[in-house]
Amino acid sequence: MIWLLIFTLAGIVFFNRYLLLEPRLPIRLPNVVRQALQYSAPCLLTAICGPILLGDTDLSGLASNPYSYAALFSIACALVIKNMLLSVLVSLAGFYALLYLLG
Amino acid sequence: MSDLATSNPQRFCLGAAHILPLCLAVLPWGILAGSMAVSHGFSPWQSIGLSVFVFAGAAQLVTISMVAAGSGFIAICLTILIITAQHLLYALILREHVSSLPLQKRLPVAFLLTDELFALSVGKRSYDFAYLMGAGLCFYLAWISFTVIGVLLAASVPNLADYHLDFSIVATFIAIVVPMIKRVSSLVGVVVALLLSLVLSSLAVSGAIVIAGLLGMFCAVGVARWRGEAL
Repeated sequence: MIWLLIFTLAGIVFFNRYLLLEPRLPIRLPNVVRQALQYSAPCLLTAICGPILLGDTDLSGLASNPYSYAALFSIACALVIKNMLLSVLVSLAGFYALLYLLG
Repeated sequence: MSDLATSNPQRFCLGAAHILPLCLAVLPWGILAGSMAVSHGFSPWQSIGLSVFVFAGAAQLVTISMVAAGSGFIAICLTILIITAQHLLYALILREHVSSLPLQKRLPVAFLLTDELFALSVGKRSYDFAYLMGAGLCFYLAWISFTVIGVLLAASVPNLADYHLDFSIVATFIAIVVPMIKRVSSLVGVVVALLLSLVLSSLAVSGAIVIAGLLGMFCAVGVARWRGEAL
């Protein structure tokens, strides 16, 4: 049963990934969609972070959530440190330091 | 020299090298995917199978939680269809570069098309097959290796969830997104996407990520047009 689920899900994810790469699928995009696609990477990647930041809490929990403060620190790191990998490492160090301080 | 610099093997290696920081960034995330599967009742081979065949971090974690919660087959499939819908957008964006390739090249690109490969390809403006394969395969092998480590660790480290490995994905995406924000319109788009994602997720709306991302994108276009930014 689990294996059947795994292969079905593999098919579903592959379908989502492949569908719009198929050249026979006729797509003519309106201008506004083409412009919107230029913003897809920052907007989607940011949206993916939302549920992770929330964790198991609701919106009111954000203010007391170490993830929120660590994310602000990560933004500061990304603004100051131009190297992506270094920026990630420093912000992870900051996150674990914060968790340690909060005990 | 310029021929050498653009040869396919070199493009392949360049892609692999460029995605290494992203591989490192998903190390904890991959360990989480492997260990969580085992601790929620998947066998070691099923846990690794999820990474080998599905190859989508967030979808794998949602699947594991839903199976553990006793959700039905159809409910899990529908949820995964919705939460992986961002790949439709990625494919749409890569379409003009990839859809002209023959089928035997389109299929592997599609299989390897993750958040990370998309972010790298668009970020570096590199869309050729050799580059995508180098980056995609390197990331695929890294993801499977990390899952295996997670499966092994689950047996030896209790309460792996207490280590908050999932923050690494936030740290990575912030490091990718911040340099992309060069105009007021992109800043507005990102802020709208973040706020909506938080609100919709807290209301447990399915498809929260896709809805938030799309509305952020269209708000950005609205702001760009209103301010007269060149698009």
